[in-house]
Amino acid sequence: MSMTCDGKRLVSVAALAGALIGFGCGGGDSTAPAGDAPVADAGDGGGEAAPEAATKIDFEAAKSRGKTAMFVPAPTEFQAALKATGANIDLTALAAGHTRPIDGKSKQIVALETGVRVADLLLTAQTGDKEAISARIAAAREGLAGLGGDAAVLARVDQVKADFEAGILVADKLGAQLDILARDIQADLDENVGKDIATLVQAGGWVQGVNLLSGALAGKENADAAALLHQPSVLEHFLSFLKDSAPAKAGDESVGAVIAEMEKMGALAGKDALTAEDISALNGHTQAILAKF
Amino acid sequence: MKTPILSALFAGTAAMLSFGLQSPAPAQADAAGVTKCLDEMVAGAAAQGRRLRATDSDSTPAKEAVDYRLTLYKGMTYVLLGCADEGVDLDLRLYDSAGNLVDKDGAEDNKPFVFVEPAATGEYVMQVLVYKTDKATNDFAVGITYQY
Repeated sequence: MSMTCDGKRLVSVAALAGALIGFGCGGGDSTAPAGDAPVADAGDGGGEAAPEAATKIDFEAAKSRGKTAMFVPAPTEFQAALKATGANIDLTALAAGHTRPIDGKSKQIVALETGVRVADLLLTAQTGDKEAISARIAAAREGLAGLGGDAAVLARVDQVKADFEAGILVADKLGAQLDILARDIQADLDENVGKDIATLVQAGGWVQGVNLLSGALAGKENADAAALLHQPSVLEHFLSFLKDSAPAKAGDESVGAVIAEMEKMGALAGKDALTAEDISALNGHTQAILAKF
Repeated sequence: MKTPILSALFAGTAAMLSFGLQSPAPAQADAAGVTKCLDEMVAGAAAQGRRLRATDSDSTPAKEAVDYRLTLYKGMTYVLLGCADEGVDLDLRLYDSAGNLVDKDGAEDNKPFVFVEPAATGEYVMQVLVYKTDKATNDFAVGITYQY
């Protein structure tokens, strides 16, 4: 199940430190005490204090009220999760793709394309190809500027690019730096440009991740890796958001086309597991979505 | 009381922050302290090769849980991090899609974390709970880091 680091402070402190320095968590207890009677969901609790964490909650109710700020996996998580399955596939080599021009595109499409560009940058940040990485930073910045990103955040992007090009920021530190920057870009867009745009940037990154992974898995038999593409709840999250968006309701053609492809992906996501044909189909749908950008 | 190993970790974090991992002042001034606190924890994780998925900040009265939907992958290790103001007892709990408690940090402090290796790829819920406080509402920041 999970490694356990709960309990007393000293145990927690040592476990965190141990985990972070690579020795793993020293715990090992099971935290969900077998045989404990379920107690009230603390989230429903109003003024009543739960002396211990509820061992059982109404998951659907928690989901329905749950925030989604940390729901969607980062693009780079696809690569890490892929490694965890034992698949010998390097997505970074596939992320080198081309950017699509954003001039004249709707803000929604620019947001999706910006998400792809940020995803490509995050995925390739530690490859060491300085010229290509600089170009990807510039491409992501162009998308962010096109969306009306805050001048201070754009300046930070410029600073990261300058520091990287000058060798002040080395490649193996760039990934962490860009993680923080990507987080702040999302926060800036969410607060200053609009939650809808911030979500579309996130959606673009997710579509790119699915596209790269499904392309890499084409013709390969790896059930664990294929399971990484089986994300019905993430798909439903983005699909619901897009359908409720103002452009969709106004009949925006590009957004409508993206929704149509996502609905086809939804039909696949409804299956218990994905076959090789399903993965090829997923790749086709994500390719079709990217072609709309 | 901090153990020496954690103190050393955070000393490293401070050095890393000075190297350039600072985040700009958060938009919400009242959440600045908890966001800074979380960023220090994130930087410490990054220094050990962990990547950041996302963070969030919010505020809540005591004993009213805030739920977060998470998608987690089997085979990965995640550290869920939280930070609240000094003197606040902040707890984190993680539940699987069957609603079962997977792990928790219920220690009486303001910097909880949960280290988890998911048994299955899928959806989870993280609950954030301010368990003890003397304030009407409490700012907190949470984040999720991952590594393989």
